[in-house]
Amino acid sequence: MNIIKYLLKPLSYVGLVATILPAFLLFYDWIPMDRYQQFMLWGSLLWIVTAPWWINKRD
Amino acid sequence: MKRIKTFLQESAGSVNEYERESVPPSKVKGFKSFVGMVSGEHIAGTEFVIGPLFVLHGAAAVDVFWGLLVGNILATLSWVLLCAPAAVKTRTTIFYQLERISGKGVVSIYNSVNGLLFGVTAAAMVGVSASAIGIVLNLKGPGLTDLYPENPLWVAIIFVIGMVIAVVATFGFDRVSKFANIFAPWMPFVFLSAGVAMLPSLGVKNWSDFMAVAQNEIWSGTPVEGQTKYTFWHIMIFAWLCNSAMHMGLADMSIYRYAKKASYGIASAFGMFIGHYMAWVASGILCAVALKNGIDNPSPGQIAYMGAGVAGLLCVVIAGWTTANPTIYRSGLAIQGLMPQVPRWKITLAVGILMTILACFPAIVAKLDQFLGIYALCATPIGAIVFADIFLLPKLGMLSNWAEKKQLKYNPSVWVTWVVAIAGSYLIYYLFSFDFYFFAAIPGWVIGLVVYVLATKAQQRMEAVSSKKLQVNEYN
Repeated sequence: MNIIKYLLKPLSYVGLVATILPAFLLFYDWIPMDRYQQFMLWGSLLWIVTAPWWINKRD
Repeated sequence: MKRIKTFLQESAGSVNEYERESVPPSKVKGFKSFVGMVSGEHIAGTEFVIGPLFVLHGAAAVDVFWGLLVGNILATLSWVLLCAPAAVKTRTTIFYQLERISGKGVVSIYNSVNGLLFGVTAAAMVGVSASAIGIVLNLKGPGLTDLYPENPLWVAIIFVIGMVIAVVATFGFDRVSKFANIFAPWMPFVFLSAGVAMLPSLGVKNWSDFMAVAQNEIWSGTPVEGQTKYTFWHIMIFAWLCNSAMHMGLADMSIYRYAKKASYGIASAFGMFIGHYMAWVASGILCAVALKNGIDNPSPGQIAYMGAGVAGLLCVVIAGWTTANPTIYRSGLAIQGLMPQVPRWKITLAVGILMTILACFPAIVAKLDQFLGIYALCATPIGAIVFADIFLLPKLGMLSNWAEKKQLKYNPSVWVTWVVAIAGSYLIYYLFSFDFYFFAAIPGWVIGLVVYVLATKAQQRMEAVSSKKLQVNEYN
């Protein structure tokens, strides 16, 4: 239970941030397109792998 | 094969979906379930088709932003004021409620139309998902305007996706809702990211440039050659009525019958403003970039890959999946109304197979707007009939659920109303040369409501007179 609360859930949120933040970094020309796409992919995978462990638990 | 059948029987067969009874109070769900479900459902792969439509039809930027705002507010209000109250009051599916009102006759036709059109919609989602996998496998899929499959490997991809979706849908509302919950927070981020990331390639260097670029480069107000011009009214009505079968047609009673309160209908706002506002705007931006790069017939997968790379492709596959799942679930419920003795999971699986076969034809995606339009034209008068029967008839001193009370197979009032409303709304569509059938959903709903109340009044008055005559004759 603690692993979910203190590890998986925060990792999911990191995944979401990694999905949205790179677009703004690309917009301001701080990272190139290929790096943006890599961040997006890793962020997405992090969310998809960690979220199922906790997202439906409260109901 | 036998093992798979046993597994499905044990897992899906034990799920009670209350197809022919009210959902018991112990089974109602919290607000969060509906947010996840509707967000997942309305952020579909097809948003990559509809967003570009406004660009290709030369909508102006101001019309897009205002039209989507007003249209989506009206759509949300339709769920809050019409669909959710009807669902929470009866806690039944539209199919069972209609059977109580109209008898088996009308409901059989309605369920067949529903089952088929839900299947077609789900097939379109599978086609969209496949367009993304095709890009990973370097397989050229059909474009938005192609009609027939050309590649056997393409058909194989469709079969794999279609069967996975069908199996998940057999597990019922609970699993479908939980599955959608997983992806609902993530998908909007991908759409938003893709839109933001592509802005610099259109010349947006600062946020202050956005409106000027939007007006000149994205929604320029000039349609692509051969396309009609879209105005504020097109966008507003499109946003309001593209799901009219779900809200005004009350098809979403299947979902909201599980809601604790009718106010949970507001959950639809999450689907509308994320899926039908932000995602349509984002995919419009992507379409403008594709047009600028010389791609004049882009597939949803192409657009998503251009905007967000492999994550974009993942999003298209999953968005198609989370929309197809509840659609197949509804389709299963509709067909089960025709064959109540067959378990729902078997019917859902059969519908899933039909959906998979339909999905092999790209024409299903290309003509999706037309299918949705026909569906809206047929479904909204039924929504008006059921709404009037639940809320208006008791207030006007008339009996609800007439067919159930009188043990009728055919309720003539429902037949007359349905035929008159479809014919009347089609006539209006034809006379005013509307672009889509579903523009006629509003007149269809109003005609349905008025005709049903008048026809029922006449019918119940005649019944009262004839039973009085019978009583007098018996007395004499």
